[in-house]
Parts: sequence; structure tokens; C-alpha cells
Amino acid sequence: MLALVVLALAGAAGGAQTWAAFSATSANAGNSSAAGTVALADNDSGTAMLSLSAARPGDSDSACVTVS
Amino acid sequence: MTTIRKISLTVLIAGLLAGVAAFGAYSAFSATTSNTGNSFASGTVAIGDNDGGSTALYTSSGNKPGDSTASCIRVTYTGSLASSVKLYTPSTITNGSQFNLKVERGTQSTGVFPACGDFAATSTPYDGALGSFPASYAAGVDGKAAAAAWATSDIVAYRFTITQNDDTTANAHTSVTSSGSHDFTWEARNN
Repeated sequence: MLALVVLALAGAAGGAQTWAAFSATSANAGNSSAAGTVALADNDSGTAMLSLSAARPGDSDSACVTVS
Repeated sequence: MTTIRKISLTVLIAGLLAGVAAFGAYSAFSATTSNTGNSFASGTVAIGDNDGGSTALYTSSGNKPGDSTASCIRVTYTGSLASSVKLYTPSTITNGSQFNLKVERGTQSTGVFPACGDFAATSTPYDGALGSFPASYAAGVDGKAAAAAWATSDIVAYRFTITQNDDTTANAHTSVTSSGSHDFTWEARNN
């Protein structure tokens, strides 16, 4: 009886056999895409360019900044 | 030892020798029958493309939003077993959301790789962020529409269009953003 059970189990395990497929690949390698850059800066080191206080009509202030 | 004993022993030994001699080796008659020429061989699964082995579909740089590159590749199945072919990338892609990849299937009879010649699209299995392109066979893009099986000498052409996406984030492109080098793999597995 035990032998029959063992045989049945072995049979079931055998039935569960799965087969891996053959496989082959073909590759296209080394693709890349990159963005260009947009970069802009000035030379003010973070400080204000104009500072005008208690001005009356006609008063002016001027300064230069280089943008590159 | 008495004479009687000597005689008895001699007789015994002679008897034993005779017994051995009785086993004298005679070869048997024999006959054979055979079944010849048996063999068992595997079928084949083989796939190739027309990129010459090391030429990429695209290696573009300095792109601005909307810039795109379109290239075509033809994939040929030469195995003897019916197979399922899937397309995926085994590579790690950087800045994947910055680029859009469109992959179209179609037919093509003219044009040398990577030119598209008379490519005519029949379906578009992928059109989305490069970074979201499938990365495994299981998740891969079907080589043919509806995952149809490939037979010996089947050819499918693909057009790859890579486009620089828009990005209005300030200062997001003061240095180069690149996808990094990546590969595309067509993998055939027998059905």
C-alpha cells in the first residue's frame, strides 16, 4: 500500500516536469541620446545692480553687468 | 602414507581434472538482427539583424526639445522551430523621462541600416518614455502584432524614433543630460 502511494507521488512529480525553451537573441547595442545645454550666468555675484533711495525726479543710477 | 591412500588420492585428483576438462570451452552458435540508423536531433532557434554587429540605431547629442532621430532595423528569424520573439532593453537607462521612444513595426525593402528607405509602418507597439521601455523577455514588446509566431525566414522591420522631450524646469539643462548607452535585444524562444 505504502509502495503504491510512493509510486503515485513519484508519478505526479514526473507529470509536473516543465521544459525550458530553446532561445536565441539578436542585439542592437550602444544607443544613446543626449540633450544639448542651455546655461546662462552673470557677474553680479548675487548683489543688486542698482540702489537708489530718496531720489527725486531726474535722479539716476547706473551700473553694468555682464551676462555670458 | 600407505599405498592405498596414495592410489585413492591419485584417483581423486584424476577425477577432479576430468571434471574440469568437461567444462572445455565450446563457443555457441549465434545470430543477430539489428535496427540501424537511428538518430534524434534538436530543432533550431536562431535570430539575427542587419546592424552589422556593432552599429547603434542612434547616438545623438546636442538635442533640443522636439529634436528626433529615426532609424530602422530588420530582424530575421532563421530557426526551424516556431518561436515567440520579444523586444526589450537589458540596459540601465538614465534620465529616462527626458526622452521619448517610439517603436513601429512594418515592412521595408530598401535602405541600408540604419536608413529607413521605404519603411511602411503597420503598428506601433511602443510610444512612451525611454525609461519605461520593458527590461525583460517576460515584459517585452511583441516582435509581431498579437504575439504571432515566427517561422523560418520571417522578417520584420522596426523603426525607432527617439525624441528629446520638453522640459521647462529652469536650469535643468545647464549640463548634459544623457540616456546613457543602451542596447535593444530581440529574443526568440521556441513555442
